[in-house]
Amino acid sequence: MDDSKIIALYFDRSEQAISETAKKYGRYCHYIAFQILHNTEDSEECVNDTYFRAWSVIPPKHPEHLRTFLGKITRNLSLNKWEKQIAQKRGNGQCEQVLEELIECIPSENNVEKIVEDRFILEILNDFLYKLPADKRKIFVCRYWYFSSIKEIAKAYGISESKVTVTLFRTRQMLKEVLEKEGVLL
Amino acid sequence: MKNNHLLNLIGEIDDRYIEEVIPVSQKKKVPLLAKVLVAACVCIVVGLGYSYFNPSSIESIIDNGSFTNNSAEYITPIMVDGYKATYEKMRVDGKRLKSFVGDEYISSDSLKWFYVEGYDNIKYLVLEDANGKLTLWRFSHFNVTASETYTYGDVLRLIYNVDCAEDIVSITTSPFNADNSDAGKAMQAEVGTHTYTDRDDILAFYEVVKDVICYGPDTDNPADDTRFTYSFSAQDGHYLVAKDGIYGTRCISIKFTDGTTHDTWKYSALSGSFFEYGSIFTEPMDESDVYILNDIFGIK
Repeated sequence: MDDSKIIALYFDRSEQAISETAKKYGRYCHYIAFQILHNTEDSEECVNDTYFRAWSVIPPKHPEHLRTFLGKITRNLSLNKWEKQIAQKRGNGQCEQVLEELIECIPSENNVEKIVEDRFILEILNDFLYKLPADKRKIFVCRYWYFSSIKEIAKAYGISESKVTVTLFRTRQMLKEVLEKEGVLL
Repeated sequence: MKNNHLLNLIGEIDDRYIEEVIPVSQKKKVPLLAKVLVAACVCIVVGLGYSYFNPSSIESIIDNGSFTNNSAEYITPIMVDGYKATYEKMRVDGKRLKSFVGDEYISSDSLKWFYVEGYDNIKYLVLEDANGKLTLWRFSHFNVTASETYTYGDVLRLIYNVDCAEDIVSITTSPFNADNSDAGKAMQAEVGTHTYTDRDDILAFYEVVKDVICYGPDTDNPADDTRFTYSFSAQDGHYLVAKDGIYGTRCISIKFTDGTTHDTWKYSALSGSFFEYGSIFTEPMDESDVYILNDIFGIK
C-alpha cells in the first residue's frame, strides 16, 4: 500500500493503519531494533512501541517519508532500551562497538573554544554528509544510523571488509576535524 | 559531548540520507538468471573498455626499485597508528606521479603525504614537499626498539588493509636465486614458481603469518638454519650449503583483492622463519606452523 494511503488510515483513525504499517515496514523496523539490541523479544517490543508512538503522533504529524519517520522512532526507542540494558550489563549487538568507534570523532577537551547547541551540531552533521561522496556517506549511514555490521556493509556494496573499515576510519577522522573546527564541546 | 550524544544526534540527520540507504536484509533478492545476464553484460563492457580506461598501476612507473640507501635523504619515518614506519624513496619520475596523487594521508609543517590514487592501502605514499615536488615512497618496516616487537598481522592490517584471508587472492612462491651457477639455476628450475589459490591453503597461510612476530631493524637474526632437516638437507655443520638454501627457501609474493602485492618476504623451511628484505628478522615459528607452510609449499 502506498505511504499516502497508510497515512490517510492514521488520519481516519482506522486500526488498519497499524496492520498496513507492520506489513510494509515491520521488517525494516525490526532490522534497526535488532542491530542495536541483538535480541528478538526486545526488538519486537521496540517495534510494537514504534507503532504505538506513530499512532499517537499521526495526526497531527504528517510524515514526508514514512519509512524514515518510523525508523527514527525505532532507533531512538532501541537506543534507550540498550542504554538501560547496559546499565544492567546486558545486550551484545553492534551498539557498543559503534559507540567505541564514534569516540574517535569527539574532539579532545583542550581543543574546545565554545559550546554548540544540538541543532547547530545537527546542521554540521547534515552539511558534512552532504559534502561526502555518496558511497562513503552510505557506508557511514549504514554503520552509524542502521548499526549494520562491517560484514553486512561489505556484502551490500560488494567491497572487502577491510575497505569498509578504512572508509569508516577516514570518514570518522574527517568528521572529527569538522567538529573540532566548529569548536564542538566534549 | 559524549559519544552516545553524537550517536543520538546522528539519529536525527536529514531523511534524504537515511532514505538513500536500504539495509542489506531489506534488499529484494534478484533472481539468479537476472544476475547471470547482468554479469555477462558487465564482462563484455569491461572487456572492451579495460585496456582503454584502466590506468597504469603505480608499479609501472617505478624505475628499478628504491634507492637502497639508508641515508636520511632516502628513508623517512611516518607515524602509522602509533608505530614509526620506515619508508624508502623510490626511483620514479616525479612528473609521472601527478596523476597518482590521491587523498591526503597526513601532513606536517610543509610536507604533505598522499595516498596513491586508486589505492586504499599505504604500501606506497606520495610526498609533496614545500616546493610542490612529488616523490614516491614505499613501506619498508616498523621501526621498533630492540626490546619491542610487532606482528605481521599489524603490517597486513595497517599498511595493506588486510585483516582476513578473504583479502588475499593468491600466494606465489619462487626459488631463492642466491646461487646463479649452472647447478644453482638447475636447482631453481626444479623448485619452480608456483601460485596457490586454494582458499583453505590461503586461510591456513594467513592464520600462520598474521601472528609472526617481527623484530626491529637492529635485532640480530634469531634463526637457526639447522633447526629442521629435510630429504634434500646436506648441511655442512652450521654452514648452509647452496642446495639447502635453494630447496628450503621460498621467495613469497602475496596478491590482495585490491590488486596490491606484497613481495618482500622470504620463507626458510630450514629455520622455520620468515625474513623481510632489508634484514628484518622474525621470531622462528612453532613446529606446527612450519609443517603447515611446508605442506602448502610442497617442501619435504
